[in-house]
Amino acid sequence: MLRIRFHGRGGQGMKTASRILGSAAFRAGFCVQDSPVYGAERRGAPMAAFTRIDRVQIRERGAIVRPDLVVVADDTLLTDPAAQPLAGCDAESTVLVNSTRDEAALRQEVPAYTGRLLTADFTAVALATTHALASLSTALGVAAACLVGLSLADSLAGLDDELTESHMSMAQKEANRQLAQTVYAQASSWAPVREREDSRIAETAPLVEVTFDPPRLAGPSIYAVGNSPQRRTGNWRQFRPVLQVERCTRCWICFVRCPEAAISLDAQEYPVVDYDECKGCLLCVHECPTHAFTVEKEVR
Amino acid sequence: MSDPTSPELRAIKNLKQIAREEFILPGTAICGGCGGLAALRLAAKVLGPKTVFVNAAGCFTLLATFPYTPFKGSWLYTTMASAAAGAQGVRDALDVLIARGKVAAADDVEVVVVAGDGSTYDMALSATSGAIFRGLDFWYFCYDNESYGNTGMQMSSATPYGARTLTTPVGEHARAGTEHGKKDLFEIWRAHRPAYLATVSPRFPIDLTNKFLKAKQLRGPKLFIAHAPCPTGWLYDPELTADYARLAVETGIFALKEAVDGVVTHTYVPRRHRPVEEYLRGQGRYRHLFEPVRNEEAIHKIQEQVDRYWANVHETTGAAR
Ligand SMILES: Cc1ncc(C[n+]2csc(CCOP(=O)(O)OP(=O)(O)O)c2C)c(N)n1
Ligand code: SF4
Ligand code: SF4
Ligand code: SF4
Ligand SMILES: [Mg+2]
Repeated sequence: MLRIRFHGRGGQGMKTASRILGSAAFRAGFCVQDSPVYGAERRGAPMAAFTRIDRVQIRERGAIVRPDLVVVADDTLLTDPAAQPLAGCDAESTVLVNSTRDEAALRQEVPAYTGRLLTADFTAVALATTHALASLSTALGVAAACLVGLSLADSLAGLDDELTESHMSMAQKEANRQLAQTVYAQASSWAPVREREDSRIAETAPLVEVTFDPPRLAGPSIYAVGNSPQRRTGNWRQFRPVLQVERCTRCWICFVRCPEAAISLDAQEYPVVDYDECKGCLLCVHECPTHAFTVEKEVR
Repeated sequence: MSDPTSPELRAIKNLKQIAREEFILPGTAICGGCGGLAALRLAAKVLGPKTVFVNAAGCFTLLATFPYTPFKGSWLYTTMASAAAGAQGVRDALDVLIARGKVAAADDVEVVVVAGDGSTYDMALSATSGAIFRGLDFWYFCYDNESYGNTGMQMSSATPYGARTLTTPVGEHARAGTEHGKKDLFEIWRAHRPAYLATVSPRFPIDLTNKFLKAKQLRGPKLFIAHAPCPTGWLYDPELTADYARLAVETGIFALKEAVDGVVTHTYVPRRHRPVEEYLRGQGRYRHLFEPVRNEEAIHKIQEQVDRYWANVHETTGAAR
């Protein structure tokens, strides 16, 4: 059995990537299982999806704890405690990271990891072909399909299964097929992920024993007020709004319209973006009448 | 209820009169670009810190997830059908505690229900009807994203005709996706003659602020339906939330209005309505009306409903065009 775990942020399409891989393997005649973690989380918040592929019926269920391949949608997730994409990885694992940085730079962030680490800037490839960030799911789903040794034809068939159900325009669907071919060609240079010797041995996640605590302690009651900024949703951001002060007329529009309260006004009434919290929805950029914000891709 | 003569409750005329202090802080698990949050944030600026939000299960329960809360005041989580009943309990408890001198009258708080449309239009209709009927002194803020959003966009009775949802997919026998029409909650609530009732849009912050300021002077049920464009469920880029909020009003699909003791006033009447298509086009949930073939009949039907609504408004109010 091959176990593949996808890590992304809500909206990056990793659930779809997992499905593309699953459908491709199914088209190739394998038994497949794919499922996202259902969390009450949102666009931008860390999420995971699991794909299992085998020649025989799969009885294992739940989260994948010892993955053969981990696909990471952006490198900010590597050190995010809410994501922990490298959990359970070992020397035999392969980790594929979508990043603008090279392997050496990424390894510095995760020094304890000893397995294979592959990296490529799939976002750039996706944007160049489809002009849509959402197509990252196509890129990473197909890259994973190639890495587990599926053929281009099966990968495209798997992609088509997913595209049929999507709300995309015809032109976008075609662009996604082109993107799949480009990515497949690129990923072919990597040696495929191999099945582990003991791959059929069922994984067991450790049981957590819940101790009894009084409700005031064990219940999810929050006694603090206004502490949500500690969550630092700024790391959800893929693009950053940057104010070009000389173009700003101090009209307050961005301040009033930012849904997050991530913009405040300074003493001179110039807007100040709180980058610890701004989720990067870019509404302020779109709404500013004088186009005073520019957009920069986050590089962390 | 606040002192109606207080200068703080005077209607505002421009954006720069909107409070700079925040009462819903950033860092929540809500999607970037959420229209409902944009509206609630502006409402909270009028409501101030002395509030207890009573929140029915839905997307906005993610505002406060252990161990974090964005609120400066309190927050209580209820089941989908019972937020108004929860509000009644909190209000009654406060009244009793104040009467017994255990809470100072100056420490009284506003009780504010926050609930989605699935809760409000479907499951909680009865509990809310009871609370309005009893004349409960409370606020109700329904953020209407026209679906059960938190569970992945299933149809609610607030989902408009022609929108595709998970439970109303487009098929041979349902080419429009959702075949039902949206329930007219404003009229259902208005039939109860609440003290105050209004629709608000996050893209019309002055209108929104003034409605909350006006309601603050009244005792009894103060009910709000907020248009809540939802990038995640309606399938568009988050930066376009304010655009769709504006287009909903400019096409006449979402009417900005209020009813004081049941008497309706439209607070913004566009001089000329844009074609509904400008609002529909671009939202993924309506894409099937335009691609691969144009569903002229469905688009026409939506336009007709809007035209009929406004023709009726102009007829009954004699409003100047
Ligand atoms: C009685 C009941 N049924 C189903 C659910 C599961 N559930 C949780 S949130 C939600 C969606 C609520 O929709 P809405 O009120 O419109 O709020 P939104 O999620 O759109 O913000 C559902 C169905 C529940 N909590 N309670
Ligand atoms: S909307 Fe633009 S011009 Fe207005 S305050 Fe913001 S940045 Fe300045
Ligand atoms: S991108 Fe702009 S509007 Fe969006 S959260 Fe950041 S500051 Fe607010
Ligand atoms: S799903 Fe829609 S309504 Fe719910 S938090 Fe996200 S944007 Fe807001
Ligand atoms: Mg809803």
